[in-house]
This record gives sequence, structure tokens and C-alpha cells, in this order.
Amino acid sequence: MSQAVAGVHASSRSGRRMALPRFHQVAAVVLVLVAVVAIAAPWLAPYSPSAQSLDQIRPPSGAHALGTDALGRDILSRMMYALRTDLLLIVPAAGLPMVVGTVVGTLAGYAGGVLDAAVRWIADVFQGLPLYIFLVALVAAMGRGPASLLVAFTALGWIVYARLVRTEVRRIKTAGFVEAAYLLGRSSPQVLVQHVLPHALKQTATYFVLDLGMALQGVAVLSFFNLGVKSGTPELGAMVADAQIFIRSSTWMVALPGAAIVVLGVCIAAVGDHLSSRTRGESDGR
Amino acid sequence: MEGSGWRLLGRRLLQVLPVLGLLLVVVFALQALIPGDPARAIAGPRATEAQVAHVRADLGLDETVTTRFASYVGRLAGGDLGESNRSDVPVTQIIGQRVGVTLSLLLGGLVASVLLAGPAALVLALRPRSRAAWVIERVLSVAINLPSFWVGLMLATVVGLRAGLLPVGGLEPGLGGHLRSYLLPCLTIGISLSPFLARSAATSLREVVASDYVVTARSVGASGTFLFRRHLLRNALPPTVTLLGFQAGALLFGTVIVEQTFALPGLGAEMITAAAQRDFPVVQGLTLVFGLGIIVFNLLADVAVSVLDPRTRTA
Repeated sequence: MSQAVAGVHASSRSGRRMALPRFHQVAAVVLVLVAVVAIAAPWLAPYSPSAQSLDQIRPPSGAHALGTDALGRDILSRMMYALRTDLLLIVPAAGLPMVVGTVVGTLAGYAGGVLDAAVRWIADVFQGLPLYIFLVALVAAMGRGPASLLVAFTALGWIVYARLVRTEVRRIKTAGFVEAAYLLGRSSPQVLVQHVLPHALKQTATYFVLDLGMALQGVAVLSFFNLGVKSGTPELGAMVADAQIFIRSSTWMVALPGAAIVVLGVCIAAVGDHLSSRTRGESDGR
Repeated sequence: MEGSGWRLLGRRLLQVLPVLGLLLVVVFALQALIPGDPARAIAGPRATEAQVAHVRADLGLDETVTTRFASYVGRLAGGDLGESNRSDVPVTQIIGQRVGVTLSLLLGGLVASVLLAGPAALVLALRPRSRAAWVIERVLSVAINLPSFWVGLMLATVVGLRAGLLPVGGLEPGLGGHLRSYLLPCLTIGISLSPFLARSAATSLREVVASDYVVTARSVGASGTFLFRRHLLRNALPPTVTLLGFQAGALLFGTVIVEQTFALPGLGAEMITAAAQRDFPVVQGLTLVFGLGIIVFNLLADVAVSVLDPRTRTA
């Protein structure tokens, strides 16, 4: 209620701003564009991302809109392909924890008892582990590559989902419409899938979006450490790392891929925050 | 700290034991994830067949898992973290040489975060309708998404290389040189940590400002500074310190990132180099140290909260 009042104040004070689209709407459009560019990179990119030339370390120009890197590769083309690489890494890195956490949380919430207690204890203890340091250690043990990334994100990321889904399942288990479904003779798995899970999924979607941002940072920083994607793969963090030694003379080479990470991160967070404030508002209203 | 404070610390130490146990299990289990022959991986690429055989015997790879874990914990208890497979230097010695840099960064990073977050939180909480608050909100929502390795590089370029004001790589000699070398790295950590702090502190400040006792104190004519010290700070600080405890992992990893970006000889830079070169004993030892660091940091945060807020001592 107080938020609504504040909203009226803010909008009446700056009436001109109201006509503009909201920040999260702009962010959503940017994310859709990014996804389109990532998917259509082979058709959109003016050059091959790995084609080398003798035009090395050139600032932005007509031929190369964002310049070329140390091997004479077109930076715009590499960034388009890098979006593809990054999306292909972060979607599974955020998705797998969601799937594992939802399954574990559903089972724990539905079964209760010993299973529930065990899951809660493991979650409590696991939460103390530092994600990114764990990530580096895993890469050292398993070798660089998407597998280490997926294992580390899943090992630590499932907890949030398991907690959330467990609480939701326990809450809904006793709701009227679920008991009605039982009375109509539905089996437990049917009730779970048809009635309980759809409610829980709305909230997990929010976390998924926010986790995309975390995964993006994780992928980028690992590549920056030279522990991420194979060298030569177009990836935003790796592009920053590769250009690092030219930072004094050619700052744009470092600035551009880094700025792309920032824009992507800000947009993901804006959409995620909007989703979370909406789901929170809904559950408050109920 | 009174007697009850010590009792609280004791209780927290007991709660820490399972976390500590899991940390040991995870660090030990990292070995199992090494593809191929762990003995060869741990001995390193320079090792002879005899050395590999020696490591295999040391690890007791033919024994059961529980025996191996027990002997691993036993060696840890004796202060033996193994040796680097690149240089044969004991891991404990590497840690001893480098821990100072990392601790300095932690402390400096914390100070920078508080200096950046404090004023921002005050403006957000006390003047929420002001233009400054609007700007701060926008800046925070961007800052929270800045990758700190990129912030570090950009700071290094603009302040260090272009303006030539500060060193951007390695430690300069002497106390003054050290301080100058730490300035940009600590600022980088501050920029990545302060958005979380500022938001949390602003939320708790807002609650306190709206609370009955502050409204009452105001109505009876209490002065601004009295209100601030007696009510605002005292009540808004504990939740923020708790959040700082939650952010311990991010803070520690922040030191890893800036050590790598600014070429500082700390634990984090060593861990990255060791990971890239598959120097497994060093990675394992440092993972353990970082894990312990987080546990200790959380304990300190708990104790700090109990000192700041006596009500939590009995809870």
C-alpha cells in the first residue's frame, strides 16, 4: 500500500517520465535482441569469428565496426559468436540446479519426515561453501570445460530451489483444491504434477532468471582466469583476458566485451527483480 | 566481551563443526574427480615413475575410502598440506608467504566498501525522495552487475596507466609503496561489495527511522547526532553485519580476482596459477584455507552482532 502511494508521488512529480517504457521492459527487449543475435550469429556476423588477417589491433572503422583484435579478427563478429557461447553455457548452468532443486524439494516437501530433515541438513551445510572458489578447485581437478561449470553450479545452486519448492509444496499440500483432487480419486503423482508443481514453478522461474546473471559472471571470470572455455573460443570474458595486455594502447578492446557483460547482467537482473517483486506482491495479496 | 559473549562463541563453534566436516569431505573428494590416475596428477608432470609410486603409496589408493580420509585428516592435523608438484615447496610455506597480501586486501576492501556504502545508505534512507537518492539507486543497480575483473582493468587503465597516478601491477617497495599498490585493488573490491551493503543498510535504516521509538525521541526534541548514534546506528548495524557474513564468499573471491588483475602475490593469484597448471596439492590446500576463512569470517560477524546487539545473545 505504501509503495502504491510512493508510486503516485513519484509519477506526479515527474509526469514526463511516465510516458517512457519501464526499465524492465527495455531490459526484456534487449535480452530478446541478444538471444536473436546469438542464434543468428552465423548469418549476421560480417566476418568469421576465427578468420585472421593482417589488419591487427585496428580501432573501430568502416570495415570493422568494432575494430580488430591482436590476430586481426573482427571484434564485432567475435562478440556476436561470444553471446552464443555464453548463452549456451549459462542457460544449462542456471537450468540444471533448478531441475535438481525442484525434484529434491518436491520429494522432501511431499514425503516429509526423515527425507525432509536430511535434505534440510545437507542444504544448511552446503550453503557455507564458497561457489566461485569451489568452481576454481573443480576446474583444477576435472579440467577446464562446461562439465566442471555445470557440476559446480548444480552442487551449490540446487539449495535455493529445493528450499523454495519444499516450502511451497508443504503449504499447498493441505490447500482445499488439492484435497478436492484427492477426493476425486487422483493419485499422489497426478496431484503433484497437475496442482502442486505449477504453483511452485512460478517462483522458481524468478530465481532462474537471477541465476542466469550469476552464471554469466561465473563463466566470464573463469575465462578471464584462463580456466574457462578452450583458448580461441569466442567468449566475452576470454576476449577481455586476451585483450588485457593491449589495454594501455587499445582500451576499446577490453572495454567493449566487458561492457557487453555489464549490459547483459543489468538486463537479466532488471527482469529478474521485476519478476521477484511481482511474485512477492502476489503472495502478499493472497 | 562479557561471559555471555564467550558462551555464545562456544555455541557457535559447536554449530560450525558440521560445516567444517563437510569442508574436509569436499576438499578430500576433489581427488576423486581427477580423471585418470590421481597419483600421477598429484605428483605432477615432472614426476618419475618412482615418485608416482611413492605418491600412490602416500595416498593409500589401495586402501578403503574411510582409511584414506582418516589419514588425510590426520596429516592436516599435523600441519601437513602436501607439497607443490611444480616446486616441491610445502603448501603451508606457500600460504605463509602469501597470506599477508590477501589479509591486507580483505581489510582494505572492507574499509573501502563501508566508506562507499555508508553515505549511499544514509542518503537512501534519510532523503529517499531526493534527486541524489534517485541517482544512487540507478548507480547501485548497475554496480551490482559489474564484473570486478573488468572494473579493476578499467580503473587500472584510467587511474593507473592514463593518469599515471597509481601503480597497477605488483607491490611497490616500502610502506608508502605498499599502500599505493593496494589502493586500486581495494577500491575494486569496494565497488563490487558496496551495492549489497548499501541496499541492506538502507533497508534497516528506513525501518529504524519509521519506528515508534525514533518518532517518540524526535517528538521530545532529541538532537540529530544523539538520534543517529543512540538509535539509528545501533539498530541498523547488526543486520548489515549479518549480511556481510553472508557475503564472505564474495569478499574472498573478490581478493582472488583483484590479485589476478593487479598481479599481487596473494593466495588467490597462487590458486589460479596452480589451477591452470594442474598443481593439485596447492589447489586443494588453498581451497581448504579459503573455506576455513569463510567459516572464521562468519564467526566474527556473529560475535560482532552479539556485541552490537545484546538482545541476540540470549536468542
